Amino acid sequence: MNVKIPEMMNRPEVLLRGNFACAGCGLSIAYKTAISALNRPIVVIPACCASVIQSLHPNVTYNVPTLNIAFAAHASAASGIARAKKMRGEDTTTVVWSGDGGTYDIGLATWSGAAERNENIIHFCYDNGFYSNTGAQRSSATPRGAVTTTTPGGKREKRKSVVRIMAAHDIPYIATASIGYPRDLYTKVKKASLIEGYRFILIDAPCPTGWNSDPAITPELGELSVKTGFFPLYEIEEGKLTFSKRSIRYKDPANRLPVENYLEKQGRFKSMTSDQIKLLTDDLQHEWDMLSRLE
Amino acid sequence: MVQSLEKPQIKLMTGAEAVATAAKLSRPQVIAAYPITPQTKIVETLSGMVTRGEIDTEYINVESEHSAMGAVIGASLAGTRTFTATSSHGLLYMGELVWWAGMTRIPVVMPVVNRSLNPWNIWPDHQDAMAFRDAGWIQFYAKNNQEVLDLTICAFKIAEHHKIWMPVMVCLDGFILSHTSAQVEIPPQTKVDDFLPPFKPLAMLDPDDPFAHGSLTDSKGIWEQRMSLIDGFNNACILIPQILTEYTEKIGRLGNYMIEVTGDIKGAECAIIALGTMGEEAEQAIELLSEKNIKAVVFRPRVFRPFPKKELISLIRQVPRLLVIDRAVSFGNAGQLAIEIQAELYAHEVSVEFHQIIKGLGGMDVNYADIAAEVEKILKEE
Repeated sequence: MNVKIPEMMNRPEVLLRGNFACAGCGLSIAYKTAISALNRPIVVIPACCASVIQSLHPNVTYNVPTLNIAFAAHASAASGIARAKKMRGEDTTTVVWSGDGGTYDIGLATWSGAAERNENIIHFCYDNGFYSNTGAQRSSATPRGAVTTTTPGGKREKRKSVVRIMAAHDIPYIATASIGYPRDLYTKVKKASLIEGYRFILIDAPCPTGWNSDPAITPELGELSVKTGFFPLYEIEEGKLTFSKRSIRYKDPANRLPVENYLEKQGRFKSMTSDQIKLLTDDLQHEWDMLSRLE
Repeated sequence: MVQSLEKPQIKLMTGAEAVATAAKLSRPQVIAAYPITPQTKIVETLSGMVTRGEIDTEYINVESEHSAMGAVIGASLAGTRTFTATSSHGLLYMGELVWWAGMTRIPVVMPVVNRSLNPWNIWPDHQDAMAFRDAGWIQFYAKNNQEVLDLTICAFKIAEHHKIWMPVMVCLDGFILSHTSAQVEIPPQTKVDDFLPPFKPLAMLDPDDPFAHGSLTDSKGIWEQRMSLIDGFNNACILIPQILTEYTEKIGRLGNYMIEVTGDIKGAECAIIALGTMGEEAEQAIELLSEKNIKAVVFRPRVFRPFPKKELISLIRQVPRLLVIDRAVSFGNAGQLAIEIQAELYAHEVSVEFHQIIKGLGGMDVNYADIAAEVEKILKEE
């Protein structure tokens, strides 16, 4: 599938001005790019930054119907919506829009149930690797070494591979994408929208507020996470993994930019020792190796 | 045998089957449920009906009670009539979303098969449902399988009334009702359809008319919302008897009372007040007492939320003595029913001799002889 630039330029405005997002918010870019690619979306949002940036009731900056729901109830509420709209014979696209806390941690059982039932839902996880909404606490998506308010000495454990857990459910479509490559993200969403069943798209979404990075370089951080091999882009269809064009060359570690180029631009990694960086680099390589087994 | 579509059938069925039959007759469009003893027979019976094509519904076999309530909240807001059922720990696990449904006004109907809480025990008491008396749900307590069926059908009409628009629990005692067969009259589908028209959403998630449900709300907004919920309950006090009247006229039997009175209130020395099946046992108890020349009467609230204050006070004014029996405890105080009745006595300056006891926790048997003995005891003490 090849989406042309003019199509992306003319997409509907789904996130209106006056929202509460911070400067350089990666989530906002991810939301605008992904949701605008969908036909008649209904979006379910659990507790996360997306439940806050929409503004204060009765004002709302989302231009699509939105159900705010409890943290661990995203995919269950979306299941109900998808079934109800099927029952009513209405043509809509049911979407879960969750952060990594809601997907990796508290809502894992909920989406696992919905994925096993193969509910007709597109589940987006915008991943900034911590609880951004509540003030930068650790999640299981937080990379090793990152300082958060609950890991003030840097996280000691590696980041969980939620995609491989999702892949074990054998759902029809899985993709990773980055706000650094909006056309790739938009295309993957379009592609997902043509498939029925449970679809999952993980989006790397930098958070300058929590990462302690310059808001002006949010898209650049998105690119760097791909170029350093920190966040590989790929699709998994019917159990088979394909690395995306933007990522394929970084399968060979020799082609990757040094991970330090990515880490040094973020305050959260400032205190990492070279030993910790070595461990982090091993974590990244391990993930590439495990993903390569699915090719 | 070909059965008439117009005439009621009489069948022997358990409370669980009565719930499932009532649900089927009410035509829910989305059902989401997770099994828990003693509610299991409800979901099994409904699953069978769905598999055989007897109900046109989307049935979601969710992976937890939390997700069951999540799914019906989503389905309700997407414009469909919804149903689930649970019990005990299932209700507690669902708890966050039980409150979500209550506070954001989701008109779902949920029978709760009353069962004790931990340590593991599957037998009946009211501790589970009482933990949610403040959650913004209407609560009925049924005394027998017939009432379970009738109230479940009424519950949809009550929940979905645009001046009420809130979730409804229909509570039935585990095993005593859920697993015990009794004669139940099943109304014909045509009559139920006449009583209960299709679901009419008050607000719906619709791409043609987008809005955000449950979004970030400031104190003023929360205040307005809570005041509107209080108004909804006040409306329910007026509308529930009207809806029960309509059911009785169109379908039969049920009666429009919030509190059922059994026995002769005139000259009664004591009124026994209890919920659910204990209320029905008390009906037997007054017969036993009358053999000993003791005149007693039973007031059985079948609606606990909204609390039927007006009806209660007018009844209590006519008796000298009350015996309130609770099947749950508000630990650190007393039984919930007793506490609430005492509050009304004070508010209305009613002077009455007041006795309260807690019975039947964890499924301890409470039979009519026990209840009669309690009445004799308080009379003897004087």
